[in-house]
Amino acid sequence: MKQFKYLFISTILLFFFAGCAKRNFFPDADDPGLSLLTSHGYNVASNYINGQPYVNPFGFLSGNSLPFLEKILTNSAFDTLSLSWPIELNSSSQINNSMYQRISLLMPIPKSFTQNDFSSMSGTRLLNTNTVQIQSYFNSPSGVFSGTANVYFVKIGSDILNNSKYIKISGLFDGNIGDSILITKGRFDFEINADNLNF
Amino acid sequence: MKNFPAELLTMKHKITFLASILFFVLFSLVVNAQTYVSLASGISKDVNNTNKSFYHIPVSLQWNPFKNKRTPFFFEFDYNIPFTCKSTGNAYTLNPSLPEKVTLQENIRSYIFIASMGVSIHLYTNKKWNSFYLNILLGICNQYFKIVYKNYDKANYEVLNPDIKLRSGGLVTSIAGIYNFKKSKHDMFLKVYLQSPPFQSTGDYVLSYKFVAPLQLTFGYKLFYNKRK
Repeated sequence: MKQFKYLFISTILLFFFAGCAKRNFFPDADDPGLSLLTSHGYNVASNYINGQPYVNPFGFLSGNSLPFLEKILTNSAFDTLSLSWPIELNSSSQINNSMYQRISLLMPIPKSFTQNDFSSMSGTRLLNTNTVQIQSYFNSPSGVFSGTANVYFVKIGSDILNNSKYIKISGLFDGNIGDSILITKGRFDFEINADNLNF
Repeated sequence: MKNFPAELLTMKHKITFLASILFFVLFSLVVNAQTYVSLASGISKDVNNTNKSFYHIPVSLQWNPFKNKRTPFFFEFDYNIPFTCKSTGNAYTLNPSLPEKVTLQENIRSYIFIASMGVSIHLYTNKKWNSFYLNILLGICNQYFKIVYKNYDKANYEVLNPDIKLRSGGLVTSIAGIYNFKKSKHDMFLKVYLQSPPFQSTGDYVLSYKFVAPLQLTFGYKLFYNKRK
C-alpha cells in the first residue's frame, strides 16, 4: 500500500512538472530587464516605462501571457487594429507593485483590412500615426492613458500547426504620453492563432 | 567457408570467440605502451555547423604517464585557438532620422578546451618501424562562443534574433588515426582527429550556431621519457 502511495505521488509530481510551462525570456545584456528582439514566436514582450522594465507576465501552468490582436470597428473612415497584452514590472524586488497592468498599440487600418493585408505589413515602420494606451487598474491615478506611438513590424510570418494557421509577429515600439510617460525600447515576439482573429 | 547459424553456436564457441577478440585487443594495446609526452598542432575545421565555418589552430598535448607496459591509457589536453567566423545580423530602429534597417557584420570566435582520457590501439607496423594507431578518447569539453556585432549602435538599433555569448560543454568522444614516424630519439607523427560535439543542449534560445565538432589534421613530436629498450 505504501509503495502505491509513493507511486501515486511520483506520478502526480511527474505530471505537474511535465505540465509546467517554460518562461521564454532572454535577457538583453545591453538593456537590463528587457528580453532580446526575437522572431521565433516566444510570446514575450518587454519595454521601459519611464525607465522601468515591464514584461508580459508568466504563469507556471499557462506560460507567458498571450496578446490580443483584433480589429476594432469604428464610425470613422478607418477601423483600428489593436495589439495589446498584460504587463507587469520586471523586477523581483517590486512584485505586485506595477504601476501599469496593460499596454495597447492602436493602428488605423482600412475598413477592408484582411489577414493578407496584415501579412504585407511585415517590414513596415509606422511612425506617429498610432496610439499607445497603458492602463492602470490598481494604482492611483488609475485609468487609461493615451499618447502617440511608433510601431515597426519587423517580421510577420506564418506557420501551419495541427491544421491551424499561426501568425508570428515581431517588432519594435515606443510611445509618448503627454511627455510625462515615456515608453521606450519596446519589443515584442508573439505567435497568434489566426483562427481566433476577427479579420 | 561454411557459415554457421547463430543458434548453432554453443556457449563454448561464443566464449572462445570473445576471448580471441579480447586477447587481440590487449595484445595490440600492450605493444603501444610507453611513457611519453607529445605535442602537436595543425589546422582544424568544424564539421557540425553547416551554415558557418569555424576554423581553429589546435594545440594538443598528450601525456602517457604509465610506466607499466600493460597500461595503454593516456591523457590528452586540446586547446583550439579560433579564427574569426564572419556572419551577418540585421538591426532595426524606430528612429525616423536613421535608416530603418542595417546589416551588421557579426564576428564569432569559438574557444574550445578538451581534457580527455584515451586508449591507444596499435594497428600496423611496417619494416621501418613506422606504425599506425587508432586512439579512442572520452573527455570533457568546454566551448566558449564570443559574439561581437561590428559598429553596432546599441542606443538606436536592435538586432533581430541576435546571437549571444555561450559558455557550455559536456562529455565528448573522439577518435584519431595516427601515423607514427619512427626516429632514433623522438618520434614524429601525423594525426587525423575527429571529435563529437558535446552531448549537451545549447539551451532554449535559438542560436545561429551549434557546438563545434572539430576535424583536425595535426603534426607533432612524441618525446619519450623512460623509453623502453
